[in-house]
Amino acid sequence: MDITAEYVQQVLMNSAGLEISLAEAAELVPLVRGQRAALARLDRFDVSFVRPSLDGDPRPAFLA
Amino acid sequence: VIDVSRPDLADLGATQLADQLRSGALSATQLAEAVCARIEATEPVLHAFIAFDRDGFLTAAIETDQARQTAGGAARVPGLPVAVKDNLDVAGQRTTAGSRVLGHSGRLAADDAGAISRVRHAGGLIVGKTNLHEFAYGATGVNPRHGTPRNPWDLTRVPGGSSSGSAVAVAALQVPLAVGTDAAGSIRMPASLCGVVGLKPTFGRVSTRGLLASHNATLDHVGPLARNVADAALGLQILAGFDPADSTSIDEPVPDYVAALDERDSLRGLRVGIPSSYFFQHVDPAVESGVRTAIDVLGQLGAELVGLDIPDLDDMMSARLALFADGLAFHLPHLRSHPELYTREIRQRLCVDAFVQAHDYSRASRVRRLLRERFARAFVDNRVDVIATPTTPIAAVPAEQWSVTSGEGPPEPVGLAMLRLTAPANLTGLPAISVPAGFVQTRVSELPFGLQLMARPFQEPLLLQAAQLFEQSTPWHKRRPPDLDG
Repeated sequence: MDITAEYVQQVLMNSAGLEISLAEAAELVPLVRGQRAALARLDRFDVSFVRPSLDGDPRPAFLA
Repeated sequence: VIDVSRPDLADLGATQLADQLRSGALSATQLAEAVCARIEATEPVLHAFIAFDRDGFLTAAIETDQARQTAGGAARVPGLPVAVKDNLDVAGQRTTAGSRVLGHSGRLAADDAGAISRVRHAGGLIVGKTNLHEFAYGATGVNPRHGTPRNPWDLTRVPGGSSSGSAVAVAALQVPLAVGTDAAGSIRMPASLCGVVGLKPTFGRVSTRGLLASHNATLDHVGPLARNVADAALGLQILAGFDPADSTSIDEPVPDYVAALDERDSLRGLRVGIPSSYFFQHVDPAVESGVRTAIDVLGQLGAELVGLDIPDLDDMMSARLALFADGLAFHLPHLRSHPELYTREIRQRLCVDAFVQAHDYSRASRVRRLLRERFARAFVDNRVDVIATPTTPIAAVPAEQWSVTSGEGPPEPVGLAMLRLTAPANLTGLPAISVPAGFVQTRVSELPFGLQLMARPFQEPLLLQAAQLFEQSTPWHKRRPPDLDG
């Protein structure tokens, strides 16, 4: 997918409710491209059977 | 009337001051007055504090002395001044997180953060709230909203972040001990750049209740910054402990970190792992040379130095980008209603975070698990106790510099370069300490850098022992920044 200023502006509006100008969106284009490229580096890892360790202790909520 | 007759007090560390306070050789009021004098003389230049509660601090000191006279006292640090990063709640004070987003002067805190309760329980006195990179979202400490704290070694350079004010206040002898937070290296990076000791404990060791949830809570930590390792041990002793009201706190016995320092007089029997990749890539040659010399010192102290490899670390660390997007849950409402209150840097970063999708986050969480396993294997398979690396790939850069070329690498944003070597300990939750390891000479100044040591979960005693033996064998922690108050 080609990441353009228009695309950045639309995604932020539609998915996050953030209204930014096209000029601001243009500044974000290289940053978003860099982020997508960096996250793509995670694709090579087989995570099919990996259970992430998430906080799951139910006790603290009853003590707060 | 400010008592400036004891200028030496500013140079004493937390351990020495606590000893004098406990014995009665020094009163809390005397010390508080000396600290106020030092802060008032240096703060116009340094900008280490967002809020300096002079009256509250002095009043608390007087009350401490009065209480000791009437009831005695068994507090560990009765009257010890402690500065607190301004993303941690202090009851009755405003938390700004270095931003204007929470109102012009911040959000009034009803209660102390868990870690701050412990400081008070130990007898410590809160001096004020220290400056930080906006919302602790950056590694340089540059803060256009509240004024960038200056690196005391060279006022034209950044102090590192995000616990910039805490590091500056300790390095510039304003306070003997400060509390910082660390989601990607924010205690260790400014410690490295300001020439002090910074300790990020094991995840769950120190309560994060009352720490503003502007970050991914599974990455964030609270820990001490101090002028030497013994003071960092004392700081951790004060801060550590289970908090049943904090979902990230872990109920693990708290050892005597201070006493542990005397249990070892060499590093014989200790195996120190030296990563062959990642941690020594794209590192400024002067920093790398200094850190390798520091590692040789560990060897001279009796440690067995072991080369090791942690495969795929470079790719795996991309998970951090998705995990950090967790902070949008806090920021999005503010970003929608008042985007202009954010600095451009942070606003842009948060907008980019909005492009992280659910499957990105899920994959990153799973890769993070693999990363933890890789580190565990590196420790276990190589039978190493400690891993030694540079803390930061560079020393402090000029405040206006935004990109850097470290070693043979391509140009890189300063903020990203700075956290590259510290962030793995946040994703793994492993304890890590930065201890001064040398200086880089520039045309006009000498700039400190740190040696980072990482250990297995809850092995802070070992980490502190190794760091202190290194410290005692080197001169770096004894050096002080140029005189700031003329």
